[in-house]
Parts: sequence; structure tokens; C-alpha cells
Amino acid sequence: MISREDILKASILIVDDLDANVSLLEQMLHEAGYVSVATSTDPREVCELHRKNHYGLILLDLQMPDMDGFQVMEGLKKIETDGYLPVLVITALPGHKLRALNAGAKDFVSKPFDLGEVLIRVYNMLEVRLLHLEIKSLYIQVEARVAQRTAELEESNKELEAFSYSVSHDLRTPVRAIDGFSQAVLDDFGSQLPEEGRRYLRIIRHSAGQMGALIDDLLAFAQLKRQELNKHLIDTNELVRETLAELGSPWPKRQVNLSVGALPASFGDRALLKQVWINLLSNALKYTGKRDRAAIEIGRLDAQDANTFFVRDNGIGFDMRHAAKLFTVFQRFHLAEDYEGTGVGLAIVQRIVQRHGGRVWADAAVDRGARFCFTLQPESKS
Amino acid sequence: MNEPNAVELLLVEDNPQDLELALRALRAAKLTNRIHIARDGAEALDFIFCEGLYAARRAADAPKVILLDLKLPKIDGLDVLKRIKSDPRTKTIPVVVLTSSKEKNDVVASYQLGVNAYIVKPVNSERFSEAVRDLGLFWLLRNQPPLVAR
Repeated sequence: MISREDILKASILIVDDLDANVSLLEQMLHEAGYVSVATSTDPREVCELHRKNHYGLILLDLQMPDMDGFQVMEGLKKIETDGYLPVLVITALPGHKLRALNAGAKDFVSKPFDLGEVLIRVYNMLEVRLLHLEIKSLYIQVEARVAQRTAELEESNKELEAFSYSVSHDLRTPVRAIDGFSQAVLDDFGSQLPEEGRRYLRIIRHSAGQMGALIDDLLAFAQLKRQELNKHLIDTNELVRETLAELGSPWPKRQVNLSVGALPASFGDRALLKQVWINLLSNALKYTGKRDRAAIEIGRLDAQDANTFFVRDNGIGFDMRHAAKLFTVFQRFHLAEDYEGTGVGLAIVQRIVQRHGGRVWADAAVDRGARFCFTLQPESKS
Repeated sequence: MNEPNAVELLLVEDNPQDLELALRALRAAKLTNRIHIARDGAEALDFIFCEGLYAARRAADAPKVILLDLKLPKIDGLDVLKRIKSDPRTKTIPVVVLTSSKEKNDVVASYQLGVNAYIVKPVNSERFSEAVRDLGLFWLLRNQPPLVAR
């Protein structure tokens, strides 16, 4: 904050063509404790003086020969580039007060002087001036800090991009070789191998496939953070129909009782929201895989300010004690030999929903099914 | 007409395992007759523009298709693509990018440079073989190549 000492140290210029007025004001300011007071009786030199000394306050008479106070202010405006003209005008004409304020003066005092009033106005104006300067310097500091943080962020984003580029290219290639040459051995020499040898090769291929899926999921997850959202109003019913059709291939062998309620439109990125439905619905299909009669229900919950969708299944569910970890990358609740997966799917769901300003949660019980809910902001709030 | 021995498919691939798997897939589809392999971007350009080691090759014998990896030693795939597509002598040769990169930037840049197709190499070996076989069948047998003045 601004202290009284700072204010008394401010440099002040008194401009009046009459020596008597100048002396009076100068003496008064000295007595009040101001230590840096300059004076001038020639309005034509004021701009040059201010250019050199950057006064904290100019006490300016308006009626002077050669050049009046309004002309001086026009000249000062050209010097003060930050838009704050530290001018306190002195005037005997009531009509000049408003005109001077309109011309950029910050305050006025009337002639003849009321010395007490002059002192208070000088003090207040200097205080505002110093606060103005302090804000400006803080603003510059903040700008510099933001610029530095932005540069750091851009740098780390670039590193992340280089990293995921290298992951996407360099990690997939050896995985493909592991899978491809295992297959080549099976194709070319399979008949010469004992069954156990063929089984080992199939395990190698299977693991390579999982590795590939993991690389893809992790890259998709990492890219979600920087991917821009391309938001539109989307027909959710159609989106869900499309998703179900694409997931449809494993069903013919299974009995799946599917119920889809009427869904409100969604506002968001179609490709990303489709990924949310794909992940939730393929989970529902996966975890009902051992049910004789799988039941999956898709619908909306009544909510006041956001659209809330849910996917409910009668699958194996999970223990709610672990619910907090559900959406964390690599968290798996079931043995890989029972239910395959990379442990990234629900983390992707959460990240997409959060990027749309919504939230996602689940409730479930072991062996009694699970229900996943997520909200999306309606168009007007997005 | 092409010389009977003219190269029909130019395969630009630096990784020896991917190369061998691609050739395996082409062999299984009986498409190995007239394949030429370039192991980096510079060699690919020398071949295409009949320079350096390939100065004796006839430019008129353009391959029916070029399968181009993007991440290549010396000159990378996007630069190779740019050279091919910005030269009136070679811009009609179909180029298919066959790469591990799913990066949007690579896809967009390739199409902006005029690539004829962009295929992400599947990690799964059966699907990789299928992709290479389909590409070979389509571009060598099914597709009508441009009629170039010879």
C-alpha cells in the first residue's frame, strides 16, 4: 500500500504566472512536509520540464498569458502515454472547472485558495497517482509471469507431442514385429512344433495385441488433453443407435435385452462423445458377458440444470469401496483372464466428460450390476 | 507400354522387420514379381527421378504405386511425397503412405501434399498382411493407372 512518506516524497510542479501565488503554494506544501516541489511562471516550459522530471503532480493555473492552461494540458497529454494526466487545475472561473475536467485534468481547486482544501486535494491526488503506478507495475509483473508460464507450457506441450509421436511410431513397430514373426513361425513351422510350442506362440501374439491396444489407448488418453473440442448440437438417440450398431458384432451369439429411452440432444464434440458411449456400452456388454440374459438399459435421469445420461447393466458389478479408483488410468477391477481390457477406458470417459464441463459417477454392487451416469451441459450454458 | 521388367511397386521402408513382413504378405498374394525396395528417402528419390545409382533407369517406367513410410532416414517421407507431387513428371504416380503414425498432423500434411491414400500400419500381423495385400491388389491389378506420355 501507499504510505504517507511515499506521498510526501512525490515531485510536484507549481505553474502560475503570478510569483505571489507560486510562493504561497510552495511555502504551504513545504510546511505540509512535501520535499520535492518545483515551480514555474512560464507555461511554455511546462511540457519540457515534465518530460525531464515526470512530476507526480502538476498544480496548473488556467489563466495565463502567452499560453493558457488548456493548451498546456494538450501538450502534456502527448507526453503522458499511459493515459493518466497528473494535473490539478487552479481556476477562478466556475465555468472552467468542468471544461478542465473534460480536458483531462484529474481535479480542481478554486481561487481564492482555501489552503486546507488544496492540501487535501493534493494529497488525495498523489495517493491515486501512486496507486495507479503500483497497479501498472504489478500488471507488468503479472504479464511477464504469464508470458513465462505460457512459454514453459508451450515447451512442455512440444515435449509431450514429440514423446507421443515417438511412442506412436517407435513402440508400435517392434510390437508388430513380435506379433508378425510369431505368426510367421506358426504359419511356416507350426506343423513341426508340439502343441505346447504353438500355445506359447499364441500367448506371445496375444500379449503383443494387448500391448498394441495399450499403446493406442494411452495415446488417445494423452491426446484428449490438448485436442480442441468441435462442439455441435447432436442427436443423442442417433449417436447411441450408431454406437450400438458398431458394437453389434459380438451379440448374435448372446441374448442381450436392450432398452433405450428417449434421450435429449447433447451439445459437444461428436467424435469424443461417441467415444464415451462406445466405452460405457462396450463395458456393459463385456461385464454382462457371463449372464444368460444380459440386460442393458440406456436412459436419462431427471436433473435441473444439466442433461444426465445413464447406462445400466445387470453384469458382475463391483464393490463400491473401490469406486474412487474407478476412473483412474490402469485401474482394473477384474482378472485379465476373466475380462480383457487396458484399464484406460473409464479414464478416457471421465476426461472427455470433464472437458465438456460435466461429471461422471457410478453405483454398483458385486454381482448385482452397475450403473454409470454422466452429465453434459446444455447448449445455453456451454 | 511398360518394359516387361519395369518396376510396378516401389516399397520405401527402412525398418527391416516391417519390410520383411510386407514382402511376406505380398508374396502370399503372389505380387512379388516387380517390386523395388528403397531403404531411405534419398534412395527413393534417386530411384523415382533416375538419379545417382539409378541414372540408367528410364523415367518413363513409372511404378504403378509407391508405398511410402513416413519416418525415414536421410530424407523423411513427407519430403519425398512433396518432391514427387510437386514435379510434373512424377505427380501422377499414385503414392500410398503406409506408416505407424496416427498423428493428425501427418495425415493432414500428407493429404495436403496430394497423397492418394493414407494407411496406418496395423499392429496386428494378420491385419497388417491384409492391408498390404489389399493395397497391392488394388493398386497393381484393380486401379487404372494414369496414361502418361512415354
